Amino acid sequence: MKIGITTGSPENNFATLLIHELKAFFPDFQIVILSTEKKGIRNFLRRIGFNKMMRLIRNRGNCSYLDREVKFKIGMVGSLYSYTKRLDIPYYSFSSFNAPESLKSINSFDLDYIINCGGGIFRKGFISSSKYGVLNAHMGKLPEIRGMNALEWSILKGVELGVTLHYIDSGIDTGNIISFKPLKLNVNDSIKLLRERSNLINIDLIVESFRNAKDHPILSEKQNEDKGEQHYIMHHALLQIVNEKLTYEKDNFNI
Amino acid sequence: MKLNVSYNYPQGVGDIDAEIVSNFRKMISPSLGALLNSDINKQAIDRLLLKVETNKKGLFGKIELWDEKPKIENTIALVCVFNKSFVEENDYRLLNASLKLLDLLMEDYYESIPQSFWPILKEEIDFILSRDFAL
Repeated sequence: MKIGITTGSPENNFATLLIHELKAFFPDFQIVILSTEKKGIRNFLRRIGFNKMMRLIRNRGNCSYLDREVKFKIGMVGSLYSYTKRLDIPYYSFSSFNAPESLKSINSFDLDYIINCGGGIFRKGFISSSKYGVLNAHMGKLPEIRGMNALEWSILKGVELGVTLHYIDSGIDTGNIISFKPLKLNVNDSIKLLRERSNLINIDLIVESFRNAKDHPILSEKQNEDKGEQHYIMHHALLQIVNEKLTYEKDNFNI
Repeated sequence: MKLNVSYNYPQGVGDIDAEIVSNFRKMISPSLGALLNSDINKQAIDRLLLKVETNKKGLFGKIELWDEKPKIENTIALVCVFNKSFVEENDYRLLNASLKLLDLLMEDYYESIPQSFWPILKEEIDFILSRDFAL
């Protein structure tokens, strides 16, 4: 099995941990990194923006669940790039996944699956560039919560929290569903903590789906279009309501 | 739980009356006027939401929603459409879109809003701010 993992950044801890888990369960899997990042400090600053850079400087030393897991399981604090170098995993950089010259190379890799770990919007050519399809773990229940701020919209609308693994098609979160894993609320949960825990569930879900697959492509079901709703970036006033619900009304949640 | 958002109205904003509504309706595009008067189906709502999200600034450039050059009154009408649909559908995505449109109007076009449309806008804002979020 040959898997392509996308990334838009060489510091992608999610992709690092995913590779670690996939390699632990499937040592025979061949992994290839498909990256869209441009190297160099100027491009790094352009990519993350001034505000995020200031946040990174202020929060240096603060570890997310993902950082801790990477440190604990892999014993390293470093980039995806250095981890793949250590494991001798091929790392290919492209200006865009959708450019004709990129597609030509990607098609030549003969990938079975591609797993989305970032890197931008995928067009039709890229979506069909692997044998079985592109997998994406979405932080909300599909088809009910498609789109942006899925976690926040789930809380506002009282929809069960969790992660959905699905195939990517040309729509936004409209592809066939493989599986759903619920996310239980803890007493001290905040949006940030829930998002971090969702990331770990995303990885579990991807690995589990490969472990449970009796055949390929991994079985999936069409989404129920009647239930499908697209969501966009949540206004800060509604975000505040969500945070207050999470802080003061957790016991009343029906999710 | 109430929304913690406040908007400053110009001094002397009066009550809404039939003449204001009539003048307002004459100035918005026929397609938006029709939406305000009709039951809006799910597809129309999804299309409008997409327009708002992908054209936030471009709403004031030409989009297919209205027939000619879009105006501030068309954006106010869109807030009215979303608020009306929010009541009918209980769909919080519509309230989200209203809030974003109001931000756009208040931040970038406050000075250009015709005096006569302020009562309509005030009524729409008051409606949004009065929502109780004991969901």
